[in-house]
Amino acid sequence: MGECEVLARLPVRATTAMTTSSSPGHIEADDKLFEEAARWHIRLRDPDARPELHDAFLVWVRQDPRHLEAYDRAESLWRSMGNADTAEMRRDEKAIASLVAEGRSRRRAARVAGIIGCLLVAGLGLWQGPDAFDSLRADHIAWTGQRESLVLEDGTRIDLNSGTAIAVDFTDTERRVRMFRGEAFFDVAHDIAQPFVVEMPAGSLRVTGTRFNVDLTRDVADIALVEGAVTLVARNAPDLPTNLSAGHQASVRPGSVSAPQSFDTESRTAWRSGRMIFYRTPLSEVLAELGRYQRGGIVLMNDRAASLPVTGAFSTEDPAEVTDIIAETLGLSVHRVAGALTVVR
Amino acid sequence: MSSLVLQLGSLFRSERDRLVRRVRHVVHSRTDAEDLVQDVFLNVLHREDRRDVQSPRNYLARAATNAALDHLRRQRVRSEIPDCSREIAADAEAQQAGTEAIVQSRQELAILYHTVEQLPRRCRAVFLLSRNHGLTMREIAERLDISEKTVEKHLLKAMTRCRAALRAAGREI
Repeated sequence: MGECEVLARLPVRATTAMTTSSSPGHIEADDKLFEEAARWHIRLRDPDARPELHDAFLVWVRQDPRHLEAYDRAESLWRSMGNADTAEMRRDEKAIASLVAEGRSRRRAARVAGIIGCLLVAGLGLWQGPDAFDSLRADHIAWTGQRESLVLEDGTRIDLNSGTAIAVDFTDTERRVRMFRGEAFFDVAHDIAQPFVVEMPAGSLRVTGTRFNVDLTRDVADIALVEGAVTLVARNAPDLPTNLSAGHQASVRPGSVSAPQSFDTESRTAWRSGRMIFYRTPLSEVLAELGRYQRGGIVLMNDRAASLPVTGAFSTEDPAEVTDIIAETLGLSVHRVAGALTVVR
Repeated sequence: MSSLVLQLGSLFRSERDRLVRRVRHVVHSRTDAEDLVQDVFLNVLHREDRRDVQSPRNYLARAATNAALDHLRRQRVRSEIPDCSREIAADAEAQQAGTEAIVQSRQELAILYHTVEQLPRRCRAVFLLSRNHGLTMREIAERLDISEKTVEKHLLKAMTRCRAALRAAGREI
């Protein structure tokens, strides 16, 4: 990845930039000040911070005008650091889980840790945490819990479902959109001279003007065509294009395209109006769909319940409430961990 | 309704004077300090975060500190920029911030992401438990079976490394 290479070289530039801009002594003093401010910030943002600590902090602030300024820098850095990860770094949960497990074996009394450890390990299978680099490559992102609509320069309209990232790349001969993750509905403006291409991890599709839905799950892209005609090509089988006709859907995998099947437009595109519609859908699929709309994912820890059929129409606004309703109906219990993970069992 | 709101009356009686005294470390005028603390209590009623607070005393202390810092910041801005040009400066700043932010944020995100990823395993876990999972230092210490001091040390390391990385890329921070 290009960005990676650039970053790897940064430290070299760093040293030159720093030594030329100011003297080493000045830098050292500034580092020290920043460290002091960062330490205050760490202690004060802790919900357990005692009122007496605030007294000491305000005395420190009064000592020197530079103290507040340094504290503000620390605070703004902390905020940026939060933006850099949040939902994007779920694969790090693996590291956390193993560390928590280590701590537990060292100290058996760690009741809560044990629970968290188990949940994190159990959750790994379901967590398809979007790669942070997807967000960096993308021009348009709908973060978890958001829905976005955009109109491209040619009049094509794209609706992005929660947790979707795409990049738009138009040339004179081709209208190209790269889709990295999530789900999107395309209403492509008709233009024979400039075909519209959607590039996905599993393959690509080509149209001149039409309406269709693309849903990416890991390496599989589900294409549902509402109107017109599209050509689907699997990444590793470029010579075997599949033509899809209106009212049909097919799954594109890196090696092949599945046989087209009919689908229900209403439930397939319900997300565009903030709804989810299920008809005898297995619970595991329903929870996966709900997980799209909230951070932290939903884990089903009950194998027998995975295939239970769910039927109903729900709002995408409050996935937690929908999870509760469904679980209650099926006689299952819901557990939430620090607002980060939901476990149904 | 949250217990914080229900207790507001008795908290006001028991905490108000203490908060005013504390705020006066940085707010010199007594009436300013009193107004500020009064607002802290009023803001509890308009709090959007519906989650209940663990310790009302800690919560109020924090809110008062933030209010005092805001007061101090406003005062500094006022003393630094002459009155007539303040509005123009603010406008220009906002406009510049808008365009710059878009270009900068993407690069910054990449740098921070990369730096956090390169943190030592334990340090990264502490940071993520704190930042993403909202665990307190005590909770993190318990879960990882390390001391609270060590938790603080890891968080500080995460911050100083990120700062160093941003500075290396030419960002003043």
